[in-house]
Amino acid sequence: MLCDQVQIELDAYFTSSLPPEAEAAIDSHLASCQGCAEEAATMREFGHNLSSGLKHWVDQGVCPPELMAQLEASICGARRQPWWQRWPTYAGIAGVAAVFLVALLSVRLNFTVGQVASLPFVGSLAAQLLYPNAEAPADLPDATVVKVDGSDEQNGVKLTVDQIATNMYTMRVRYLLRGGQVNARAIQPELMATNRSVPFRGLTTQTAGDVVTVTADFDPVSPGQPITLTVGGTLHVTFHN
Amino acid sequence: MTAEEQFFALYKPEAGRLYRIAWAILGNEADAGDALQEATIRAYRAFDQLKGGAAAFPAWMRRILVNTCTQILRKRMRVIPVGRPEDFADDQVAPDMALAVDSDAWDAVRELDERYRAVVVLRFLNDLQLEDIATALDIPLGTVKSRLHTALKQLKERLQTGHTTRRGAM
Repeated sequence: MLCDQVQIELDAYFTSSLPPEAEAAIDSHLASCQGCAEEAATMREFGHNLSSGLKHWVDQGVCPPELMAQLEASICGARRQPWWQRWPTYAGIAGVAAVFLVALLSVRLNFTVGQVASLPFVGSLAAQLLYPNAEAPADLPDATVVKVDGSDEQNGVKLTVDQIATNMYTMRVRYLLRGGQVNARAIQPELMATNRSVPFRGLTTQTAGDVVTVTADFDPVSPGQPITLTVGGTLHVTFHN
Repeated sequence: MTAEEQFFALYKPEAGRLYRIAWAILGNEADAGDALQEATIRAYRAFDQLKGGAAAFPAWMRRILVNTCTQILRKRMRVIPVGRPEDFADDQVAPDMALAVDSDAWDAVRELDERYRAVVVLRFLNDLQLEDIATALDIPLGTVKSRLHTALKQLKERLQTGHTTRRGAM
């Protein structure tokens, strides 16, 4: 190992951060080279004194008062973080709002589309979200429309009630029947509201494939009451208008 | 006591030392002030992550400051298009010189070329290992060793011959 190489490695040698073989090579060189041995002793002491001197100088340090005032002011400014560091808070609020909206859309509400739409500011938007396809039938003026998602299934026939439209004179229930043999008796509805039979007025049907869509008119029922539709004597769905 | 008051209760006794550490690494007081401000804001924002309580604060705060300063140094060194400072080393140094370092240490170190000064300060003031200095300054380990070797030779010469220009230290 050359003297220059040894001297460059001396600091690493003093701090024992050399691999064992390199350390052994320097040990061997220092044992045989008086110049490098003296240089090593000098450097070790010099490094120690330099470290002490610099640390002593640092310990005597005083932060200039104007800088200290500036630092305190900058901490006051740092209290309010910029928006990109506060985004988790905003994300949390948005998350809670999203959960609330999903819950709102997923529950069975008893409000009519007209009641929802009459809410200030967001009423019409909420009505669109809650009742996306709710349109009053043309022959039922001023009707309020409620979307319903009730169903029942017996013997391979599935009954689904999907919409109720009510105005001052008529309550129209739309329901679908799928599967099985759908005849006049099978589609015949009966409606009960608070243990009272609701007078039936008539119905129309529309068939598409194995789905029969029935629109049945009854006397109107006041809002908020539980109503049970029985179709064909065996299928029952309860809902609110 | 608010978090801000707790922070400053620990910070103020260290402020003078921190200021000089930044000054030693960066070489001038203006940059030291900027670095200290940046490091202080970083530390305050991470204050709730301090482990070990008040006793751990000085070392924790120093680490943040040294990291901030070496980041600044790395950016600065990338834009200095000069040859290797090792090429300008003066090898004419007597091996048995007097070791008149102590209070004169900073006056001698501040005269060094920035690349030498940074290595010397990180090694002998902040007690970083050579590998850590190489990482902090983004230079090879061999370069750290050769710069340190050259810097120590220059320092010994300056301290021996009294060529150090004394500047008023705070």
